[in-house]
Amino acid sequence: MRKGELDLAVVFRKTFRRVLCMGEVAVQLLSNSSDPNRGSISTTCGSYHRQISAGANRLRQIPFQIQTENRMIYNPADEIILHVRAWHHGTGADDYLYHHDISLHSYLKRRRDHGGLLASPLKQGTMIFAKTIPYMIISFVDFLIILILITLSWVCLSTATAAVALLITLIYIILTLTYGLTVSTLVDKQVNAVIVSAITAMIPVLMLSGMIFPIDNMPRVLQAFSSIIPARWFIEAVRKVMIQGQGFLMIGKELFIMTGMTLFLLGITIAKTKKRLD
Amino acid sequence: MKTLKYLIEKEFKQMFRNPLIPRLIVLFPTMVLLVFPWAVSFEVKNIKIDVVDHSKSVYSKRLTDKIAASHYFNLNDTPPDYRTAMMNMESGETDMILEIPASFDRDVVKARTSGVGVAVNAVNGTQGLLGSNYIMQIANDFSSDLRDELMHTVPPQSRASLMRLPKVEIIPQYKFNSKLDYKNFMIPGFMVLLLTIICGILPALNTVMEKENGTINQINVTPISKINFILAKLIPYWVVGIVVMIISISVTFLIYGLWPAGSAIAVLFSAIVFIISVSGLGIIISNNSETMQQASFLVMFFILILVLLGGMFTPVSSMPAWAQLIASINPFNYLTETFRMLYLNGSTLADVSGNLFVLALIAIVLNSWAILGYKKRG
Repeated sequence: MRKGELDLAVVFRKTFRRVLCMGEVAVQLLSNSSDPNRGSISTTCGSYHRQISAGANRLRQIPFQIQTENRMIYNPADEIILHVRAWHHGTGADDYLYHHDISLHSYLKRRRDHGGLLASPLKQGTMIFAKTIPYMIISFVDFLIILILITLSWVCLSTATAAVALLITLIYIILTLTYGLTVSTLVDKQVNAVIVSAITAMIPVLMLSGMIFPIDNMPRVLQAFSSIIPARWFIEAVRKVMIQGQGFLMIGKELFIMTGMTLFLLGITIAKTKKRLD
Repeated sequence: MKTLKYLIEKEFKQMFRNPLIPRLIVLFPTMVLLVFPWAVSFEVKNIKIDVVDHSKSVYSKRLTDKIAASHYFNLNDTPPDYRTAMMNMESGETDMILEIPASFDRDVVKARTSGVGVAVNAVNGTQGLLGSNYIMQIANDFSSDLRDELMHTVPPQSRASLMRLPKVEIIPQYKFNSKLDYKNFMIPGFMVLLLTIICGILPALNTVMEKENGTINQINVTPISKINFILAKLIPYWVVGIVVMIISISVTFLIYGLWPAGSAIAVLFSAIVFIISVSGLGIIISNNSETMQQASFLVMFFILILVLLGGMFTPVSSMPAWAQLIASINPFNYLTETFRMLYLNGSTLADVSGNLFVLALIAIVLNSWAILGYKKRG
């Protein structure tokens, strides 16, 4: 087991058979519990044991037994591709934008240094907005590809579901692009922009957004932190719509929060950009 | 040899000229190890459950109380019918529904087998599985209680044979992680994650930055050999990686009290082999990119694949065949396994030598590629 070759050992006493017929007997399980979920095998073994002894006791009716009939609701297999999409949009959109905006700012700086006319803030805004459009298109194409993949492999999508998913994704794309804009106004070097985007976009989304680890299990502080991460709301909304098949009304809260975040980040970007020009 | 020394000096100077990088090296591992291990948990606790009780008898109420008292479950509501309960599940108010039929108390009293319906929200697959297992456990406990209490109502002839039901008791012994603490399992994984990110991204952006600045042309016209040039780029990142490892091991010990059950030297040694591989990959990406955008996309792409298919979050054995194939050439996978074995299992260097061999192989391949693939002509 230390060499990593063995996961479970079952120990039977020598007198197992004899003792079994008389009544009670104990069996020892040694499990490699470095992975607690695989290691807490007693549950699984317990139910195997019950099945076996139920088979052995077939001829005897055991009274006072409560049997549970289990039904799993919502196919969990659909999860996976949504995770990938959420992450991709989150980190991808941010990355795209950081780099390009750094070059925008250095370009503007060069123009200013060379004594060129200072562009009015409106023109500036239009230029920045124009910078984001190619990335929006790329993200949108991305979304279509993912939609096709989903339809091919897992879920049968109704038009209504796809439409709502489209809406959610559009809002999320705009949100992450705005986040990218904000970071690019706050960071000076392109290298640093990449590093900051990796740290603030990739790692928290991976850990805290409810993508892999359930949010309910986290301590309160981290749950609060999770609510700041845009990906969390995106994932919740998409799960409700695509896996649970709910409609537009149920995701109002998530959409509202995402829109609010977008406006907030936009405000920061505009404020910072104005400052830079002056 | 002297050339190499000067080149390394230059690289270090360039590295520290950017104020973010020293802070990154020290603060990032500390923050990650402080915060994120608390977030990771596949445990299933506080499952919200609705009980639809059609029987409303003494026995069904006892079962409901038993469930409410269990620390696995939070009793959310007792709606009057299944449809209301389903609406609760759809709105996310509850995760499970237990439906007790109207004939429950009659079945119990008449010593028959009674059935209850369990519906569980399996969006979180683990929660669904474990939740239904817990309910089964509680139901079984309850039925043994009932058996003890009501055995006297069973006619004497059948009673005798029932009393001698063979019972097998299972005694589990949880080795290597006796408290079943999921954090202990994930922390070695986090260390590998830190190494991958820091020693992957920084080298990847290194040469590209010089290309964009134009300073690469000056190096290219000198008679510096490829080996010297690339080695000088790699060695600072090996040092950075070792520093990150030392910080990680210390933080883990100070905060979580976790120290390798195997040897700490083995941990450092395997880390070094991995660092050599990952930084080699970074340099390859850097050599083949013209702009920083290109380089950062490529490096993010590789890091994503390395991490997700690296056995840190999901066990490799539950992956489909094609993913397992990728995992077999993924250095992340080998190092995570090695770290876990050294930290938790108490394996010795001999035990992990298989993994180390593969890691060394990958390191040699990647670094040769990095050195041979560099073209001075640009």
